[in-house]
Amino acid sequence: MIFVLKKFWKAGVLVLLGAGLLALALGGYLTPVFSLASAPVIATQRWLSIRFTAIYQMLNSPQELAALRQQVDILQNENARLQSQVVELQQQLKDTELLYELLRFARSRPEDTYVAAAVIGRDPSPFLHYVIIDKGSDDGLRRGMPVVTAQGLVGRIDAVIANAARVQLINDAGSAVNVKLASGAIEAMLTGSLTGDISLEMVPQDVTLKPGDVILTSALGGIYPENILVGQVVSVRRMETELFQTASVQPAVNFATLRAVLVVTDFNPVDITPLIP
Amino acid sequence: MAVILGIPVMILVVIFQTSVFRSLVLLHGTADLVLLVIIAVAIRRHDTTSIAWALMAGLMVGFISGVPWFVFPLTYLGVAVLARFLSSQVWQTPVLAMFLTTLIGTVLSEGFQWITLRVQGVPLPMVESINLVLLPGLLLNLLLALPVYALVADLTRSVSLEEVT
Repeated sequence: MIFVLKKFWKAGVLVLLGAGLLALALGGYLTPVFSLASAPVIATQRWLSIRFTAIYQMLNSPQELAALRQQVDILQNENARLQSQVVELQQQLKDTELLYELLRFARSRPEDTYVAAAVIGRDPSPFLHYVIIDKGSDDGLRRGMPVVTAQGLVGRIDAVIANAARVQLINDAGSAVNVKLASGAIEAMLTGSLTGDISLEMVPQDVTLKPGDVILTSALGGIYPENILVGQVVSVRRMETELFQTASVQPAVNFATLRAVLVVTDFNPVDITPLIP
Repeated sequence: MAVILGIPVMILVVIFQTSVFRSLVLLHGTADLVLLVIIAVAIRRHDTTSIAWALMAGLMVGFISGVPWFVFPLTYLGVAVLARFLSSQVWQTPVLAMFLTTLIGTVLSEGFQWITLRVQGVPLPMVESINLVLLPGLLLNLLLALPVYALVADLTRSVSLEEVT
């Protein structure tokens, strides 16, 4: 027994010491010691890991960056193409809506024949309110034919060549249109101006005009067909000392954004010039 | 060569004038791109090129416009002659000649149009015409004078180079 103890006492002490440490560790009594011991190891590991990751990224990133840049380029191109497509489709939608409106107007007046035309320019002179359209005598257009849109009266053709025509708008200073109130109360004359505003002239003083009154073309003078919407009275200017009263008129058509028009081709304007003294 | 080049260039300028610049309105005045190009060409080239360009442009615009056809050819010819005179005899600095001719040319051009239309019976009040059309148009022309001159200078320079080689 003594011989055994003499031979293995060191191992026994070590086993007892190990078991004691294990018991202390399992009991949580060695946690501060472990923390203290592991802190420099973890710090070293972190330091090494960060450097390694940085070096790894530095070595591998050119390929990834190039791939990402290529992808960004592709996506940007795709985005630009789609945006351009959206703009194109929006434009087409507007054109379609416009043409649909014109078609609806043409259907609402089946007694007339129309030729649709696009506005392609304006008169170079700032004193005149004329537009140029892309249809001409080849399409059956003649001088004097009335021009309308779905909203109302635009003007009449002033000059024609084979594939284009010049239209004098009703807001031109040299334009005069015989009109009447929708209520049928009076007939008067609608004139344009330098600024593009239109006004009702030659209205007798005894007629009651009020804002909102609707103005239509009258057949008087033979220049325009009857009952085409021209605009609405905005304000009335009445002076006791004058023979006639006048009124500002809001045109039914927005001449600044005019893009497509209809030319009434079956209306033959009457030239009354020889009758004018 | 330069005269022939004037045909497509002036067609392009007239198209730009009627479709783009005529819609860019300040009050009721607009820039006259055709006039500016003619002045710039007349200042850059003292041969018959500017006269030919002015005549071509005048006939084109006169054909398109509702103003009597002779107004624009006469106006543009007069302005081209004036520009040549000012740049060769009075102002040796082309940019100053450009500005001065633009000033006088705009007044002449719009004044002549106004008189002709008034003679034809179009009711155009004088004060409104000056305040709402002439002065804003003049301002726009003066603003555009320098860029147009630079463009025309480049164009005439390239044409000259082609002629040399």
